Formats: sequence, structure tokens, C-alpha cells
Amino acid sequence: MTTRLEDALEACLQSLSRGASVESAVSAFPDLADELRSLLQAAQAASSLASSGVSRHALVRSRIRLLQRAAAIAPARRRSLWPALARPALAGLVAAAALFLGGAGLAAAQSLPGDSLYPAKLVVEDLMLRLASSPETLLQLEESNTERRVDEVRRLLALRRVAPVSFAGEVQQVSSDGLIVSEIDVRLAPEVRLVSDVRVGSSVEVLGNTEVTGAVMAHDVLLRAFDMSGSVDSIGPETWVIAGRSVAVRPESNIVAGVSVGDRVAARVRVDHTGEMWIERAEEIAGPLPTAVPVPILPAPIATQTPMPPPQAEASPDPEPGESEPGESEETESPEPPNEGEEDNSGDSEGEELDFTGVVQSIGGSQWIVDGRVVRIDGDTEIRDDPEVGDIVRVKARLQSDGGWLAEKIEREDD
Amino acid sequence: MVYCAPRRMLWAPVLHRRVQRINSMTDKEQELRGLESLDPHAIEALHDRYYPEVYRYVLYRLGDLDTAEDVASDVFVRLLEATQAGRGPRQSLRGWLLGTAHHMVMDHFRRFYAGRETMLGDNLPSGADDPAHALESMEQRHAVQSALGRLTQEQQHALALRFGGGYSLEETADMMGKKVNAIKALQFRALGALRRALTEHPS
Repeated sequence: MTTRLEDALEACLQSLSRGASVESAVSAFPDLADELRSLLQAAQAASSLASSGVSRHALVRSRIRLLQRAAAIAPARRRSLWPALARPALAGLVAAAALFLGGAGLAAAQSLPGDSLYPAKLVVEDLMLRLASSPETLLQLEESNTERRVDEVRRLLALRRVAPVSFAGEVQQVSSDGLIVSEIDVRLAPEVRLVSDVRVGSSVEVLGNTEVTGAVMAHDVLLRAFDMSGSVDSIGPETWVIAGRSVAVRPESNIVAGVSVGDRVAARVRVDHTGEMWIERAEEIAGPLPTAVPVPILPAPIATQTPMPPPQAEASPDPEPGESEPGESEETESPEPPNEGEEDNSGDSEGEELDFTGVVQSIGGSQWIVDGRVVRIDGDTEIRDDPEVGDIVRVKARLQSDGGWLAEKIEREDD
Repeated sequence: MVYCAPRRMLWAPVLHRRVQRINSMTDKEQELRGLESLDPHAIEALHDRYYPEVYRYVLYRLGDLDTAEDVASDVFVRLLEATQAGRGPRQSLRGWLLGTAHHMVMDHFRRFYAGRETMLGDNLPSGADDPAHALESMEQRHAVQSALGRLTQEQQHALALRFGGGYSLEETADMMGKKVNAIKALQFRALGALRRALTEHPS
């Protein structure tokens, strides 16, 4: 009898889980109905205590606590972005972040610079970096964090929010008043002076603020990596001299074997946070150098930057007027192929027309960005229907002698 | 006492959660390996995946948000420490987590038994916007929570898994290390005991 009751109870519970009423469920067992009814009411009472939601605050606090505990267990060899002196204070920071920032797990993960939860997000990221058990994991985490910073900036710009930001990315375009870095329009504050190696293909870190105009106003642009080429002047155990510049060699440097003094090489050079340049990879190149001897890294006013250089297949330093070495003038004048993924301008010549349609990404006093292309405007540019950021416009532009496009007409099309 | 269950019965979410629980052994092995190697991604993923279940279980047993948060968090720290000491779960990670949660709840009751009625104070999810309804709902929760506390620990564990976590008979049996028929009988006895406790101590 009891076994039959247990089975009948389970059958009734299954019926309830499918949405049946108590009376409907017990109707299948008329001789046990009274007993089952009271048990099912108890089951409903038991179910009433169940909670479907989970406190997000609780989740983020628990996650931070667990990562903090894991970080304490992890060997000290695991690196941190935090300065050594700050590490003892990490536990306090974690606790502060968890307790006082009002953090909510998923909300923290979605938070943006300027949000109260944002510091908690950075604390979690740092804890995860500390826990990285291998160089590969560390690299993955750092790349993930880099992508996250860029995504945050894009979201801030889309929301028209002003907030302090820093992000890293590849320079995709250089113009007289700014850069395009990771498809983000970066304007330069008047005090910013770019080093000459900041050019298309370089990697930079941008420190600044997002603006309601849809651009980032940079108050500092730090060079992080660039391409160079030239003759190897000397080879030492820790330092090489390439085209007159000293660059460090580290264990992780990937240099193709067989390179000797006098060879011509193309190198990717990284700049660490102390400013030291080191070779990430280098290989011998055959034939003429793609460019002249690179210019030294010196602070240079923005005005000296080559505005809107044509796309390059190899982002090697461009020669500056008067700096080419004797006998290399022909090489510096040789045309360079366009970058993959960019418009093929190899056949462009001054005066050539460009006619395209795209979304307005930023509107500036002297230049607009439409579908990732920078077009200058001047007093003769005809602008119709008051386009705004986000509108679809048709642009007619003309190639200028410096490689930039001057808009002749911009017309809104999405009405 | 005739208990009027809220309209928002939790059967549908229960079914949904069951579907989410279909995991391959490979995933479980990877989770444990990531935990052993202190892989931060794995730790974060494991925590975020299982925390809601553990939290819900502990909240069901304790009925107090703050205490449930602390105990649920302790469960994961204990998992990490046990794994590092080579005493981590061998088979079912979920079973280990909820089993540990059960033991930690019992520890909590042992330590704070005298103050448990106080613990079931105002810090409960009411689930209602109307103040009068919220008060009524809270009183009902108190009554059920008190009644539940009169059951044996094993019965409370079984009801928490079945009706708090929404686990099937088979899953509950697996996590409690018993046969399905034993869980069916335990469930029968537990509901009978709960019914009696609700009738004998309605408030």
C-alpha cells in the first residue's frame, strides 16, 4: 500500500509539474485521493520556498572571494599588472570592491568606465591575470582585456558618454588632426606630440576621454609596437643595432637564424612600459629595402606627421624629406602596395573622384568619418540635409595631392 | 492547515533548469582540471555556472539571504581548497557541491540553533509588491520554513533538492547516493512529516 502511495505521489507530482491542478492530479487515484491531496498541498508548500532568482550582488562577491582565494594559493611566480608595492593591498581592494561598490556580477561585467562597478571589473581582471598559469594563458587574458577595453570605448561612444578611457590598438589611419585606432576616431589634444613611428600599422595605447562627438580626445598616445627595416649594424648578446637604432633582444624575440651584420632585415619592434624597445620578430629581406633608413624616435609636433599617408603593405617608417640616405632616393620613391582590406588606391592619382555611401561615424570641424573612411571638408564642401552621426550619407570626394580625400558633397540618404 | 501556494509555482523554471543540466563528462572533467590547475577562466566559469544552484539550495534551507550568500560562497572556497588538497570531487561535481552545502547548512544550524528563529527574520524574499500581500507571503514562508526545520536533516536535504532545486528523482538519488526507490520513499515520508508539522504548528 505504502509503495503504491509513493508511486502515486510521484505520478501526481509529475502531473503538477506539467501544470495540472491538485484535483486533476489526484483524480487518477480516487481511492488514495484524500491522502494524496494533503501530501500534494505539503509539496506545494515545500515548493513555495524555492527562489528562482539569484542575487547578482552575491554572485560577484562570491566570485571575487573565490578568485582571491585562488590567487593566494597560486604560486607567487604568477605575474600581476599591479605594482609590487600594491599587492599587499590587493585583498583590501578586493574586499572594498566587493563590499562598497555595490557590485553585481553580470552588471559589473557589463560596466563601463565611469560606472561605479567598473573598478570591481578591473579587480577581477587583475586577479585572473595573477592566476594565469602559463605564458599562453596570460597572453590570452591580456588579449581578451585589450579587446574588452576597445569594446568599452565603442559602447561609450555609441552612448555619447564622456568618460576617461585607455585602450590599445593598431593605427589604421593618420591625419593632420587625429588617428583611427581600432576603428575608433581619436582626436589629439593640442599638447599631444606624436613620435614619428606612430603611423599606419603601429600599435599604440591611447589615453584620453570619450566625447559626445563620437571621438576620443587623446591626451597621450604611447607607442607600443611598430615595423622598421634597415641594415644590421651590429649584433650583441642583448642589443642589436639596426639602421642606427639600438633595440634589445629578449628570450622571446623571434629572429630568423642566419642574420648577420650587414644584412637587411625587417623587424617588428615592441616598446614596453619602461620605454625600452625590443625585437619581437625579425627576418632578412632580399632585394632593396622597402624604405629608407628609419627616422629616429623623437617627439615631433603633429603638424610634422605625414597627413593621410596612403595605405602600406608593410608599415615601415616612411622617409621624411631630406632624410634619405644617398643612393636610396629611388627606393623611397617606389610605390608601395595597398594594405589588405583597405581600398586599393594604387591607381589613385590627384583629382581622382570617390563616390560612396556609408554611415556617418563622426563629424568634426575639418573631417568626417564615413564607413571608416576619413574625408576632409572645407568651405566649399556642400553638405545637404544636415546629416548626423548614424545617418547614411552619400559622399563625393576628390583625392588630394597629400593622399587625403576632400569631400565635395555629402548628402543624407536615409530619409 | 490548507496552504495556498502562490500562483507563480516553480514547476516551469524547474523543467528549464533540468534541460540546462545535461552536461557531458568531458565538460565535467575539464571543469575539475581547470580547478586543479587554478585556471582563472575555469574557476570563474565553474563558479558562475554552479553558484545559482548552490545559492538557491542554501537559501531554501536557511531562508536568509545574507547567510545563504555567505554559506554558498564558503562552499566554493571549500571546493577549491579540497581540490588543491587532492580531496576534490571524484564523480559528480554538482553532487559534491550540494552535498557540501548540505553539511555546511547543518554546521550552521548546529552553531546557531538557538538563534534560528531570529535568523528567519525580515531578510526574506517576499516576491510581492503589495505590502499586505508581502506580509502574508512572508508569514507563510516563515510557517513553512519552521515546519521544514522540524524534519530530519535527510528529509530536509531531499525536499530542498526536489522542491528547491527542482532535481528529478534520479538526480536526487545520484546526489544523495541512494537508489531512486529510496528517494521516492524518503520524499513520501518527508512530505508527510511536513504536512504534520504544518498542521500541528500552523504559525
